[in-house]
Amino acid sequence: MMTASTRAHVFSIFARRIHAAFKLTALFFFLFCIGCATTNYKATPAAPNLPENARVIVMPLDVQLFELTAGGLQEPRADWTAAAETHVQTALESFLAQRKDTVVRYEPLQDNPEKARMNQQLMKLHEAVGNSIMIHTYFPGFNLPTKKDQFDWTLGGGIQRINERYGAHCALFIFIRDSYASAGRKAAMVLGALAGVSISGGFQTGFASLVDLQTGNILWFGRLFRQAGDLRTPEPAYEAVSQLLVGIPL
Amino acid sequence: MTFKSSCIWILALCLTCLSCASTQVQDIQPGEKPALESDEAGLWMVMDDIEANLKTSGRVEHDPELNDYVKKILCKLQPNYCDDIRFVIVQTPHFNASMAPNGFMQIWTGLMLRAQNEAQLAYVLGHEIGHYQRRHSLIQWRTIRDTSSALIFLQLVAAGAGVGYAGSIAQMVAMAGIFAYSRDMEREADDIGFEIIADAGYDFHEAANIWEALIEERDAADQPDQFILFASHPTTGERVNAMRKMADQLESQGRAGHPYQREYLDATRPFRAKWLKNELRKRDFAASQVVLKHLLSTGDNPGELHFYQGELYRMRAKQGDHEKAIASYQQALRCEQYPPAALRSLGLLFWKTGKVEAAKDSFKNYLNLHPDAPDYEMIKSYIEEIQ
Amino acid sequence: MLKNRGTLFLLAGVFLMSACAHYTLVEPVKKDIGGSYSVEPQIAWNRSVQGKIEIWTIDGPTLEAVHFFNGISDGQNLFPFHGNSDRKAKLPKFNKNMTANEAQEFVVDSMMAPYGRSLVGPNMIGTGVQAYNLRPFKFGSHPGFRFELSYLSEEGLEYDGFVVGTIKADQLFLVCYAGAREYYYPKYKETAENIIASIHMP
Repeated sequence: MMTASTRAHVFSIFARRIHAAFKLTALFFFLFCIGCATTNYKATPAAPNLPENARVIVMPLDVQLFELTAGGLQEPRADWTAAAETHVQTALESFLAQRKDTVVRYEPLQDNPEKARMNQQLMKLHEAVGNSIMIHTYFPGFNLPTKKDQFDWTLGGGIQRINERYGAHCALFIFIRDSYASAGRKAAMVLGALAGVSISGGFQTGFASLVDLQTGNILWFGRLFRQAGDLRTPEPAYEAVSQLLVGIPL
Repeated sequence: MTFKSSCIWILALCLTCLSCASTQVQDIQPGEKPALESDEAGLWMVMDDIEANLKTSGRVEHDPELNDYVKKILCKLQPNYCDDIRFVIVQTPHFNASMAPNGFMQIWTGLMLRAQNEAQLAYVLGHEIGHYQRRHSLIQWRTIRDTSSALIFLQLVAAGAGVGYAGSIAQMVAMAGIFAYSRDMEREADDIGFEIIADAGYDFHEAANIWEALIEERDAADQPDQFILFASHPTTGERVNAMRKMADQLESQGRAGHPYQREYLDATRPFRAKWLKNELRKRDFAASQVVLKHLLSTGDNPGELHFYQGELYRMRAKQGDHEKAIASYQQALRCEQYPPAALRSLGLLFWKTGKVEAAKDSFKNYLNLHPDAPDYEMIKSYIEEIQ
Repeated sequence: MLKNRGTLFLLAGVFLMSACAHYTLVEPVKKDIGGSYSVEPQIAWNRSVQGKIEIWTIDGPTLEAVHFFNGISDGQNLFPFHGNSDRKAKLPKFNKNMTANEAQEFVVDSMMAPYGRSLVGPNMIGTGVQAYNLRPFKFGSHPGFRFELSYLSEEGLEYDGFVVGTIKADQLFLVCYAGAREYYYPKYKETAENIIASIHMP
């Protein structure tokens, strides 16, 4: 009802938010990474103290899949997302198992609100650090001279709180946004070609970070951006995960 | 027409029809969840994500008593949806409430500051329940989605036929379609809100009253762009009249209700200072004056209200405002209870207007009354400076 | 990591700023700030300048930073704002006759003002800003003030900070150190305290 603007509210929540959220991400990478490899990672130069059979907490996946409509809107697909979450989780566990690592899944605390709140702060700090990594390592002109060629990022020792229940060596965070052109979109691409207008298809973008649970240091940070890949079925999902995790020291 | 452009026309027409969605949706049932492959499930997925983020964001009012109070109102209004609807109270000094298709409601503190009784708040919440019940967001999304699909084909067709870029006209047509649609939806939600509060025993005259107060604020405001909601709602005068008519009709049928003002003032009193402070931060003093005027008329916690009246004058700082502020603070001091900050602000203004002895006295009284003041050392140093 | 609107605004801002923001190295030797005073940096910092605001950071301003505000004039707003003029008219403005209390109010209100996407510069904006322990402070040899801050980002990450300032020749000078409460604020707090203790203002 008494929305500050009905139009802005409906548009921005459903259309623009989805549209902009995704488009903005893609736009930045497209503009700033023309000529970049589709995958790219950064890692701490020193060998991380991870044992052969590392115990890895896989944090709750942040994966969303969209259908790219003919009109250029990203329409959220709950069914594709549910499938992708399953396939990506399976792919991760299988990828890590092949490297002799043990996987545990993170379960948010239910019984202790104060502890849960502090863990929330760590999750938010991880997001803030991830943003800083993206801006200051991937965007030319924002590089920090004191970090120069070093990959030196951390969440601090407070991360050990997360590990109380798990006794793990490191934690893996995964974020993926993926869109697929609808039939209408594909037709528009064909029509576009006929009319001499270029229309883009869907694309896949993802980030992953590996955090040392002793020190809080970001051991490895991976990025994926390409116009291919499919998370809706098991084999291509495994391929996407392998691409995303290139260079991970596990 | 060339072969190429007729091909484009045919293809375009076919594909536009493919993306057409039916606008016949049923009311949402209690406990209902959309099928995973539906477009509605997709919207729920995104809204679930937004809900989870908003709940832990920096802007949420977590106070358990206030949240319980609002929850009780929601469940009174629509017991069927009581378990389905979640909400957060968002710390933002604007009049707003909104309902997402997954049953997640936002209630902005600017609304809670402006509602003068429980019936007025209930009406706004009932209106939002109306949107949820009728699945308006889903319908709106489908309109946008289908309109934008149609849009791109219009553009392509135009390009193919060599007409040139027809984007802007098509866009206007699309926008006009969406606007008109949402006005009807707002009327529908209005009607449902009205019905719901009447059935729940609230005074249904309050529906028109809250709108009237909002119109008054908008007409006074320096910044009318905050009131964009009027652009997509039925004309305000029309709306108030419609609600008055409906209220008269119910009254003539012998129905009556209660505004529950005392309950509302009791529940919101602990938060009013924070909300007023945020309201004044907007620095649209003409609009805030209307809000303050309505609050002053309730006579609830007058010491606090006179203090914030003083703050309004102090922050506005126009010709003569210093004197007006001083008068308001002094009025606050005559009340049984008042915020200690009234003494501090009084001291600051006495100091600025050259009344140094009065300033010193006010600062001293402030420190005596408020030994835990967060600016104790600074005020002490003012006293020393004056001496 | 990119899922929040605040983050997107940040990136949008980054996109807009891309022509301007550029980090250079500050060595740990005496440094002049805006031609008004000098400080000892203590360690090497990454420095970025936007108009009257100078930012020193190690890990990026959303994690921790020292902000120098150099000579905000009468009638100016605190953060550089390039949005529409109606909005700008509603932003808090510095007044040369402000007491310390009003200067604190100016900073807090500026941090909480609704800038939308038209803010270019520091990330010292937040919700639920609390200022406390306002007290006199010697800014170099000038009488000034200090207060502590706590606030939240839009996403809900908790921040701590402190602000020192003075009004000299009708202009406001501020130094603010702020960082995420978890790990980052404590990490360079002592360094920041040493920086403000080293202020030399003629």
